[in-house]
Amino acid sequence: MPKPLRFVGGDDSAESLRLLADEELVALTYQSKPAAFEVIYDRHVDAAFSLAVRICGQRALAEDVVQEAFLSLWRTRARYDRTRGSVRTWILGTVRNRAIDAIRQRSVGDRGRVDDAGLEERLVAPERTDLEFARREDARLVRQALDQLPDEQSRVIELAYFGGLTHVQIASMLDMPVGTIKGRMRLGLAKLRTTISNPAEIAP
Amino acid sequence: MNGADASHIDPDGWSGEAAAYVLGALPPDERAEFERHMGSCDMCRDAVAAMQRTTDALASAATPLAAPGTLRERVISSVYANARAQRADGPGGLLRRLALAPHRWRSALASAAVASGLTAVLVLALATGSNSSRVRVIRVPVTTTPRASAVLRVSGGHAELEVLGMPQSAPNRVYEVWIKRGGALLPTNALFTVTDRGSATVAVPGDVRGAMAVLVTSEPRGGSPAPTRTPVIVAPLS
Repeated sequence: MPKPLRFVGGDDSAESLRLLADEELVALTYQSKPAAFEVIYDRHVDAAFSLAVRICGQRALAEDVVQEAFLSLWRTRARYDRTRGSVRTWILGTVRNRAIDAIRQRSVGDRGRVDDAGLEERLVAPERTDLEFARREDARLVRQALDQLPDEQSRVIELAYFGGLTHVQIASMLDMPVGTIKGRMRLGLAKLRTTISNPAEIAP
Repeated sequence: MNGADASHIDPDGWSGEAAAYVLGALPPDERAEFERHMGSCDMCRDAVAAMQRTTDALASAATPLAAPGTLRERVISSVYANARAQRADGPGGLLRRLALAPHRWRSALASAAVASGLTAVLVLALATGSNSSRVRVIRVPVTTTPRASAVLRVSGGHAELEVLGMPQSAPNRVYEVWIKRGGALLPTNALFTVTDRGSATVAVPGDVRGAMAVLVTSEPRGGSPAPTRTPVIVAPLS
């Protein structure tokens, strides 16, 4: 990750903030402490950016999406409800929704085009913390689990989750009944869930 | 709809609906209907909760990429500017309400930005009428690029600069914000780059009360203690 430019509005207690859990940091942001939000940003921005690029297919649009998503998260931080999911879920859900909105506004002809310039910039792991390592390992498992699904199931899941299409649109695109599409989504998610929770089942 | 509802017997009934729901694939009317149903059906709520965790994991299936550092600069400077504005503005103030509607705020500014070389200063009147919530909006051209514009929003001692249509900084260069006080140009730690669309929002560090102007120059990466180039933006405060 490129080194950030000079810290804008840096906080002396940044190091101690980095020891806190996400939920504790969100609670601090209620007191308008942007330094706590910086830590949340640093923890999750790579995942957010990767997801946005995957959905948008373009780095420039993905940057705008991530920027708008994090500013929106900051403005609506008081609405975070931990009973509905982790901070990471909240962030990635917001990024996904914004990215889907962005591609819906874009012309259909551009959809799915990936900006080649971005792909050489793989994650280089500046800080290999245990947590970060575990996250990458999880991500690798999820990618493998998705690869191992029958094509008919992974396709409907990807079209819905990364493509922002409804089951009706997918049914029309694949020329199949809506019930079949929903069935494939259900079976695919169930299989993914089993595989992710039993990594030994994943073929090397 | 607790217990043995007929729709649960068909595995692709509500559970198919639940799968489409967590994948965000239900059209709005079906989504609303399913959410109503979940309100009274423990089985579907549990199914959704379990599937939701799997769906959340999908987000990490994207090819891992590093977010650019320039993105951090833009996001964090805007967050600090917003936090300061909220503190300065108090509850219910204009900035707070504008912060909740950024698109309207930006489009209003964009439509106000007619292509002229003149500096426009607007003072927005407020519903609250308190002096502390006055926002001065100073629009200035970018000297190198006729189609670009810059807007400086000043509330009390806090200022935030937003640029639109600004050219990319040259390789290994960044834009640096300066504050003119008396005859001196004081450096700030606000260094920024712009998106591919030429936009950026930057908090001006420090208190701008009593300052004469906010300026921007192109400087080598890391910034300079004194400007090395002619300013591309000059926003007069007094």
